[in-house]
Amino acid sequence: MVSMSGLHALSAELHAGMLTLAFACIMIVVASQIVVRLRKRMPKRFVGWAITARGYAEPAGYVAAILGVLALVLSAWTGMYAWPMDKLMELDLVKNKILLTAYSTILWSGVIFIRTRFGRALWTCPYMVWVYVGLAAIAFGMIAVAGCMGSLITRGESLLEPVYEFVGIDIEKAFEMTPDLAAGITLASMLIVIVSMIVARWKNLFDVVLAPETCQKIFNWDEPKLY
Amino acid sequence: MTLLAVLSGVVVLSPMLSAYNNGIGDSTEEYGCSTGCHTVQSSSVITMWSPNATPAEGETVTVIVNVTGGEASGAPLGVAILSALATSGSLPSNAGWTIVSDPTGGSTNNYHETPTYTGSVSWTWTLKAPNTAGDYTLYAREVHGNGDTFSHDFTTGLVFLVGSDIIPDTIAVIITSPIENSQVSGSLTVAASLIPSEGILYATLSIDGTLVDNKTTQPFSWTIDTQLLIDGTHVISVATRNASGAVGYDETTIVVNNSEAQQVMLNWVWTMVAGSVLMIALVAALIVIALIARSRKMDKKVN
Repeated sequence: MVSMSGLHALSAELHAGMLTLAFACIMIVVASQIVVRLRKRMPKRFVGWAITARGYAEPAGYVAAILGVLALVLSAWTGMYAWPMDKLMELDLVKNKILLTAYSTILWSGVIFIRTRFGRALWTCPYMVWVYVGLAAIAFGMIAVAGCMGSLITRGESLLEPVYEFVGIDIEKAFEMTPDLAAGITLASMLIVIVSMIVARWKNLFDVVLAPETCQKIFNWDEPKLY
Repeated sequence: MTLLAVLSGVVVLSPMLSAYNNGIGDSTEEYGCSTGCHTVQSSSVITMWSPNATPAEGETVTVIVNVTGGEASGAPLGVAILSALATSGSLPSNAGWTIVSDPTGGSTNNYHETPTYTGSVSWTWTLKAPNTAGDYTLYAREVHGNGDTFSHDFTTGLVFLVGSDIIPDTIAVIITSPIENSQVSGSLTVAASLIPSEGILYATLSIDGTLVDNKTTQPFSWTIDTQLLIDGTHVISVATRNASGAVGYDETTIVVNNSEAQQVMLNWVWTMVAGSVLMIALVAALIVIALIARSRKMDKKVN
């Protein structure tokens, strides 16, 4: 019979691979868009390759992000049963890993939401591209650090340790907020969400459709093509 | 482009972000933190036994330690046999034992290590019993990883009654876990060794003199919820009687501190909630800002 720790290892590898692929695909699309944007100064063949690459990478990144988040949820679930919960919570490093994984899951869900809501046409609007790529980069950074914490827990060390020392972060000490600070941040965040919803309703942002004709005229960015 | 290069580097380096600790090799090791405290308990199962628990003074005995499971697959794992679960004075020699041979057969180290643990080990030490009669306990501890991870102690201990001063109508009761004056929270395992363990009519566990449970069969260990106790000092006692009327008793003191553990957990839950809501707010606000910025550009273009 397959043990829970075995399933956890499997799902952890799966989400790490999928989310790395998703982030790599997003970066390929970004690089391709830059090449296409500068096409007058680029060799014609190079521009053709960039258009082909983004055509494949864009949907691949979307699918990989969805599968990665599903695997991430599965990994969190199997992780709870792989080790007894009271033992899990004894170690600050594990608590930090759970925090980062939860935050990353929310950000990756935001990335998937943007891609689902606006479709491939999001690449025609640079502002939305900044948000999309920025969220994916932060989410990937968090999951990479969380993965390295897993390495530190099971193997005893990870290659990011010199980075932590350089930045001056002790990841083995619990990231903790006092209840007062946390309550303040929670209330402020809820207020931001409510204000965002009100502004979206006021400005009719719920009905916005991104498409070449709504953005491309200004920025002249092509719709990615799927070959 | 710099950002792209850095991120690409992270992607390329991702598979290399873990490496094995190389262990410390066979040596003489105290229970303490000389090579990392290894405070987090491993999921491994550790047991120890000896075919002769009542040796004469100076007689040679063998001690077998088995470890199965755990998180160290393919990585180093070591086992130490100890005379106490204390940071110093924990070597077998501190209690009068002499190691005749370790699992290698040719050395006399109390700590033995394999560089590539494959899921189970069974190692044997041969020791000469102390020259003074009395009851002696040997413990075992397995460690792997480094820093705070991982370890598993055989806290029950292996009790030896050395010499001929065993009083037939007395049962030797030794509470092997928890250690005297240890600070505890959450669930706590109380374990006791009874010698002789045959014919036990009952073994009772009491806290502050109040009977908690009564057992008639081995193992004589109990799991108690310390959250049912007030923070502070409490006395745990085990009393027993066998079929021939022999009795035994031992007690130990613990210090319960649940409020601090609960506060730490509460802070963590708050951090989780606050951070999660903050992430949701970040996503919502950025999408709205991006759409408003796009609308403004479009309006300028139309005008």
